Amino acid sequence: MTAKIGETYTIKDVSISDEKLKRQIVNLGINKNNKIKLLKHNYNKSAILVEVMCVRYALDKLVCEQIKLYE
Amino acid sequence: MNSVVLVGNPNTGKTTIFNSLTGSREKVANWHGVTVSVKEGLVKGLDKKISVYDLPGIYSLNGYSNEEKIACEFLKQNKEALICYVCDANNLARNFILAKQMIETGYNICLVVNMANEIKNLDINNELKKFKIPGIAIDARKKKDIEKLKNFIKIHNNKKPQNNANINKITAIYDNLSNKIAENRNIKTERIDNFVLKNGVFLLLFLISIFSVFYITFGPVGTVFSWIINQLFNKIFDNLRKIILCGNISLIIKSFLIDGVIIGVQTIISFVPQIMLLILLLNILEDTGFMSRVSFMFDGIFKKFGLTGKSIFSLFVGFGCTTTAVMTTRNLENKNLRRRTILLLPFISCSAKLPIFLVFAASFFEKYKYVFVFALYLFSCLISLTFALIYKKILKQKNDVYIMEIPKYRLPNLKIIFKNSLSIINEFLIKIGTMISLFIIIVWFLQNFSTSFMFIENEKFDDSILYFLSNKLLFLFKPLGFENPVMVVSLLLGLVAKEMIVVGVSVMGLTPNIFASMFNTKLTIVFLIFILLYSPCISAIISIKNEVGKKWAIYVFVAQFLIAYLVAFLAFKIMTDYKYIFALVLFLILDICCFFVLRLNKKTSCRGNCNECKRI
Repeated sequence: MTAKIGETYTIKDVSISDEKLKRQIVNLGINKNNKIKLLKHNYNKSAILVEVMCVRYALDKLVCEQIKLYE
Repeated sequence: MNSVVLVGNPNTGKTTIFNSLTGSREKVANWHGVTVSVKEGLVKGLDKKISVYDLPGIYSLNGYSNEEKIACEFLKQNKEALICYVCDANNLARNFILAKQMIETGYNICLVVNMANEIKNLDINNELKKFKIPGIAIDARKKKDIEKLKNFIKIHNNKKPQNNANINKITAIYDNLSNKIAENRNIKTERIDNFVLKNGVFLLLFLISIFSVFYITFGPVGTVFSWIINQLFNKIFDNLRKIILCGNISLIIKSFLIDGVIIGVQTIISFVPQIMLLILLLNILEDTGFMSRVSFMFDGIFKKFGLTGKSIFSLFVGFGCTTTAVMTTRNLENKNLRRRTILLLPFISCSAKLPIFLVFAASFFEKYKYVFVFALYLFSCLISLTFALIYKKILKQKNDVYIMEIPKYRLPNLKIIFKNSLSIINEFLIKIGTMISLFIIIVWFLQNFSTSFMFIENEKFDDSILYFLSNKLLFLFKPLGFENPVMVVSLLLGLVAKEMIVVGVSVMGLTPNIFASMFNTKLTIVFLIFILLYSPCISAIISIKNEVGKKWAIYVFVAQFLIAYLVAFLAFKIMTDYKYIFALVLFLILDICCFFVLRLNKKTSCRGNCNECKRI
């Protein structure tokens, strides 16, 4: 899966192998059928701004790595 | 007694509703995780007593974090209470996941849709009537809406739980409502973010906002504001002094009241206007949603130094006042991160040191005084970054997964901001003010009593305990080149408050310029480096004790003193004996070589485009 900034994906289509992160995302009320839109990197690309269910989240680079993010 | 529990996802405005219902002043902010414990109060203005509980925000009934566990445990124990489920009108779809869980579990639930004013062209109150469960749409910042909510609570307080509610029907109606709201959604935040979060634009906005905060606080506005407040209180204190001087009481009590108590209270009050202004302005930045974006944008840079984006505001506030900066670290959820940020704050030069720098810089570096002061500030930044790296290595901790909800942009609510700021100032005056007063009284005793515990009536400062102690401690400072006990006295007074370094010497009959004339250029640099780095003032130490405990407060006091001593000693030696310069240069060359060798050996991090990743 190659994800790009500005594109929208379904969470089940992107692989998130980290268990702790998975739990946290489920805990936020986000499920695998939700759409995730990748909005913006921060300086030096350590975190990414995403939008899920109309809410904006800052997620760390772990997410970027798990979904193999390319610009 | 009847009770109502405010439940909901984080950042839906539960504490704002709680404060409006009860008249409390609990901290509210435009981001998640502000409430960390259960708060209790009584609904004001009702003819019967109804208690309200404000729970920390939760996403599900099986919480992971400490505050979530607290909230879930509370809910289990209070199944009969009326649950006011607070939703954010902008995020109804996500907020409903927990509401659904609670309806299915059998809680007596009613919906409170907050921020309903942000959804234009849709009467949410009308839509809520279609539900089997009671609901109300409000804007918690409006008094009129809070009155409606009070009546709503009064009506629904004694009703039995809706166990027979058809969850599928409710879900269908709810989905329909969320879709309608999504269609009418305000896309202002998206538009602003598209413009603001461009790297260059954001950096510019950040610098402008930070410099504006500092310019207003420590520039003309803050100075005039401080001057007005201080003049007002000075008149009161002058009249008090006159009353005390005319009174028929002993000289010791007169001196205690005038030089101890009044000066103590006056010193504390002199801090208040600028701290108040700084907190007020930072609260405005928080309330607009700008803070969360700063945290996101600068997170990567600060992670290199073992901090996160959230630490940046505390460090900037540190240039104003270390005590306030320590208090601002409360926004950092991670204990270890909070501790590391607090440990770095004493390295940042606070505004109280600026007058000392200017007095000395004007005396010895007249032409380049601003360059010299700027160099001192730069030096403090470099030292703090070096220690950030050291603390990163020493106080290791596995990083949590970084997930943070970014709030919408909102116009700041000045009433709430003012209430928040007042509550922080109140805390400052009670917790820190009392301790500063105590220390100022101790200093008064040391200044005004001789070693035989006799009161010094003729202002012969050389006989005082403070001078005696300074003389005894002089041997400690001789390796730094400080040969005069007055220099040691000024450093001891600086431990109470850095302002007292200049003010304190005037008690000894010396003007700041005469005091500066005791130094030469080399000694000035050593003295200022020592002041720049040595133990922070008592109020900052007490603040650190309140935030991270006694052990760390003692550590900061001792460690800062030793670090300042060591750096000042090295500076003195380098300036007096040139062979030390060669040793330092050699050390730096070795250091740089080691850095490059380690960097070459370090594997570059993968961004998902290495051969290994492509195979997967």
